[in-house]
Amino acid sequence: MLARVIFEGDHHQWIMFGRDPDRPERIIDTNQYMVVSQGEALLLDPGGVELFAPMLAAVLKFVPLEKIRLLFASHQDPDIISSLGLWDQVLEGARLYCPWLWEGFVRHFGMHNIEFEPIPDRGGSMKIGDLELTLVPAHFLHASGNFHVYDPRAKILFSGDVGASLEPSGAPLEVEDFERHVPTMHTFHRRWMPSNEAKAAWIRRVSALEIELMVPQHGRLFRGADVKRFLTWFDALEVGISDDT
Amino acid sequence: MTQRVDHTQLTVAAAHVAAELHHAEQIAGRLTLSAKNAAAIVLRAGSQAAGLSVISHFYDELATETIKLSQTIHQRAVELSTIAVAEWRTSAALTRLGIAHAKTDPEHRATIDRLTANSREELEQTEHRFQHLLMALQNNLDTIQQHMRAVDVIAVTSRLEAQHAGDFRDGLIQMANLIQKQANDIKGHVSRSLRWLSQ
Repeated sequence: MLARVIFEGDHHQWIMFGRDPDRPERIIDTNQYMVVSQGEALLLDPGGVELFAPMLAAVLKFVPLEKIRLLFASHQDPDIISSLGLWDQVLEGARLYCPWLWEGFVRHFGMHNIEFEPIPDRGGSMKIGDLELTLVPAHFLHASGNFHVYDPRAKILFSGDVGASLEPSGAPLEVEDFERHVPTMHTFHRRWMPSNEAKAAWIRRVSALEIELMVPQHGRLFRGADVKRFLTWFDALEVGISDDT
Repeated sequence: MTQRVDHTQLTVAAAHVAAELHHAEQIAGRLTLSAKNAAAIVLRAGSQAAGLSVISHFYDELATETIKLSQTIHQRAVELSTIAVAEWRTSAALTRLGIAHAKTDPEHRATIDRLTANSREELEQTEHRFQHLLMALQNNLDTIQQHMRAVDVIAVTSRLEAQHAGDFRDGLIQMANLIQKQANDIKGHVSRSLRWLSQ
């Protein structure tokens, strides 16, 4: 599994994991992220059960297991958090931040040791090391209870399924030509995102943030001007539409 | 319950080995560079360091081989961890089938018995694969340790040979010290890996 430091600050770093060449066939490729601050680590959307072993090996290259203090699940999908039952067996004293709406659902993945931290609908914050991260509401994008994570120091927005693209494995890590990238996002956003209203509310909320890097859970990362280009494109896109609609 | 804890430990141990070997591979990369630097000094020293030319080439070969081995071990360790997870899940399924068996009337237990037998067979197969891979991985780790011991010995010889290298003496001794340190660092990662696997 590829592990790449995508932000290195004075006191904290962001690491991206993904593009696993050995993942089982027909499993959607996912990006996992880890934020390390003052030696403590937070895993953002730690991934599916099938990716647990390579993910664990990749994480241990950067931090010892006992330093993983927090998990965050943007929503309840299996590619996001079905590894929970396995993390639950190897982590001690860790907490899971997750939309309150999904507590009864994600517990089906197995959670006996990890403590559940319900995120209220209005959002909030979570602290790792000396870093405070903002939990940005992203309901109905696509799950009915859904959050993104904003790091005001690094100016990074973890945008979950928003900005996701479906490409063959081996695609570059970052968007290089936005217009050429659009077709890889089009169907995904039209079909998976159910509400134009929710989309508009999220764009308003996110437009107020200073974002240098937008990192989705699938596909490529958006840097600098491509973040604005994405917001403009997403704003104009009619969502909640399938071929049969 | 005991079996579940074992699988957890195996998964974590194999993941630790993969991480250790990732670091060893990075050091081996630096070792290759050191070997090339040593070769360059030996070349400049000419006849003053004639005895070191074979040695510096040998460093390079061992370092390159170590990189390849580290990559192989890293891959095998991730695979081992993946198999351990599969065993972990099958073992968890067997525990739950046991619970289902206890809760089912005797006349309806045939299906559960069949599933239990299948799961046991699957567990045996994955256990066999796991042991096979574990043995291969331990052999690879032993080979790296042997390489690093060889580098260690050669570094000592290099320092002795460097005494006759005139103006190049200090540079060559410094290089031998660096190479020895890198070899020891790799040995440290391999030793920790072997300890993880023996727990």
